[in-house]
Amino acid sequence: MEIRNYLVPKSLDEAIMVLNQSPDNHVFAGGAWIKNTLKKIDTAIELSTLIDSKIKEYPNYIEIGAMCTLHDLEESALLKQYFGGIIAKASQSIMGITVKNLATIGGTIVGKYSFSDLLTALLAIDVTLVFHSKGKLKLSTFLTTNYPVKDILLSIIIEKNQTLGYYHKVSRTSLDFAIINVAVTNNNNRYSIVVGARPGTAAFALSAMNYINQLKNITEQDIEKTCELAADELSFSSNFRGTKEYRKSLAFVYIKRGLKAVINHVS
Amino acid sequence: MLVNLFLNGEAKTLQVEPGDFLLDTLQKNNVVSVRRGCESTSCGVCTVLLEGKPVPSCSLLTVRLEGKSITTVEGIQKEAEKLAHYFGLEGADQCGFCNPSMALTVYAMKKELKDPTIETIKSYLVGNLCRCTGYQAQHIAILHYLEDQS
Repeated sequence: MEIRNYLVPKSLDEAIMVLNQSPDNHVFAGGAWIKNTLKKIDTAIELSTLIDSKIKEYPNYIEIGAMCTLHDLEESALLKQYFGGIIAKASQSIMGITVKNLATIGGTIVGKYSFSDLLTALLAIDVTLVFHSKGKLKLSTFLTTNYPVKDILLSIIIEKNQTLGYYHKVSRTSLDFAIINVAVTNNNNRYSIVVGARPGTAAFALSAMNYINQLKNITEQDIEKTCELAADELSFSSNFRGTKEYRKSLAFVYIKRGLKAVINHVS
Repeated sequence: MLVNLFLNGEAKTLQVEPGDFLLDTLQKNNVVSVRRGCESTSCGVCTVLLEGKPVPSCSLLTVRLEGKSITTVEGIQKEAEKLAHYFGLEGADQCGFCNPSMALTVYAMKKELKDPTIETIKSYLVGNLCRCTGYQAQHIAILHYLEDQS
């Protein structure tokens, strides 16, 4: 990997300006994946001096600084109290402690990585992102939109509520990327179903969600139908970790387990 | 570029290129206890402590370390010797290639966790691979090391 220049900007405005001067200029969050994802960087822009890394609690929401490491997420007692602890669970399932001390929540989100475990959990509770220029955006909007002007993520806001959550990752070994990961949530009988690493960036199973969310009494057959809809609507592919058919089967099984867990209030 | 950092408590000024990773910088400066393994953050043999926290030096740019504190196994020599004693008692090492990184991660774990169980130890060390031992003897040795408050 080649890096020509390294800049420690004095302000976010300076960072944004330099970032948008060239497609080969990049901001650095944790930097855990730069070796695997970038080959040539004209100017590497340091963010660690400008962006918060703390998890802060407010009466109605939790704010996570974009530079918060995955290890701090997995260890947060506060995050374990909410959403069935799915943010901590997803962070725990990621590789080893050394990587988790480098990788940040901000880098994970902005990278839109197709292998991400954390994105699946964050999308299931559709967190709000706070950008320097764009302001507030839902994660679901950010993941499905291409932005011509690059921006800098400052923090992640999560509304406190009684959402129940389920998260599961399937991988060949503890250190490997997921073959598939699934998150299911129940916010006052509104269900969200997210599948990631299909391989592909985490996505909602919208038809399945629409189906189950219009039901008043959910039966075993309804759950089966929801899982079928989800497995049919999401795109799956084959790679050396697993085939398209295997991933589709796994998605069906773990969505079913997830729905049963959050319907029965077992997170 | 010049980077000023603390290596095992000693102030150092290092000449680096913006794209140099800490593993390469350390090896160029004759710190050979930090090993080169997968170079993709997976194996853990390049572990160093950054401000006391274990990180993979293969993926950490040296230019980002201005004013930071880096610890290699030379910086925790007495603790590493104590851990080596327990490894010896349990027959927990063979080639020794992973030992410096293992010692650093265990040292960080000792500072971070209170009374870890075998399961907690396994979870904390999941990113430090050992190709020889099969881990069981290491985990027992580490548990005994953590119990030794002397």
